[in-house]
Amino acid sequence: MSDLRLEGTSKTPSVEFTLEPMCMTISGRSIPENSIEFFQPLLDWVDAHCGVAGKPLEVNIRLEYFNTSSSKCLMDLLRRVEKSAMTASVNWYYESEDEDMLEAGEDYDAIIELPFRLVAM
Amino acid sequence: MDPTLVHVALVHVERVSFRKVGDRLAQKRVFRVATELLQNMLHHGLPASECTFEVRAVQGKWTLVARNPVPPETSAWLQARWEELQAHPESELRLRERDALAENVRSVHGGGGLGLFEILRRADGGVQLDCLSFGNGTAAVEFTAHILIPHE
Repeated sequence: MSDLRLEGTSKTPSVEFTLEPMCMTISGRSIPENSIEFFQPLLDWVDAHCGVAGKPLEVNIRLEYFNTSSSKCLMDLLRRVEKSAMTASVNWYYESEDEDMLEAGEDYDAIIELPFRLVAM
Repeated sequence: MDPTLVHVALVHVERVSFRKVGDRLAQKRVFRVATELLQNMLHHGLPASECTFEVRAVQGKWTLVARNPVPPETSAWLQARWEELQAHPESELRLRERDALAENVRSVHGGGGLGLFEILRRADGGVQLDCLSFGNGTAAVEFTAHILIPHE
């Protein structure tokens, strides 16, 4: 059992997944050439640690940019959380007036059946 | 196309747009379109082929041009797909992109056909695709995206 922390780079987001409290935060930008490779450890972490029925889990997404292959990986990640036993909620942060990121949050909200909060920064 | 070159091009676009575009949201949009054009070039270009990426900024209008050789069948597929997408109004495009996002279909690169939606939508429809056939079994595609910067 361990936390997952990755430093952000000019192409990849910073990641902070913690067990106490159960919280997953992804922030920065996600434009890697190989998004599947980058996101795999994140998916593995969810599989390994999100099995406690009813335990609260907060997911925070604070992305400035992400490419379309990352958007699919993000969908995979949120789907895993959705299917887990946890009582999860998502906070989607976007820069005020950034309609592109607001729309993206609305799209995930429409697809994923988790409580979703769109937060303007 | 070398991924390192893609990164160099993106860093350049970001720096120049940050310096020249006063409107931060417009600057982000330039970067987003550049990201998708370069990703498309990286994923669909022929290996070890000569690719071209141009950025021009003139009087409040940014023009991004991405040109790369592709197999003829890819060129034909892209053209057909592009014409299909262009026939839809923005509101419908958004719903179709959402459907594509929700589908469990993935390409080997991790996407799922979302790149064309993004290129078209983030440039507010101001994008042109030219499919060039060289008649000797080779082809190329060229995207030209125009992004208008408000108040410039």
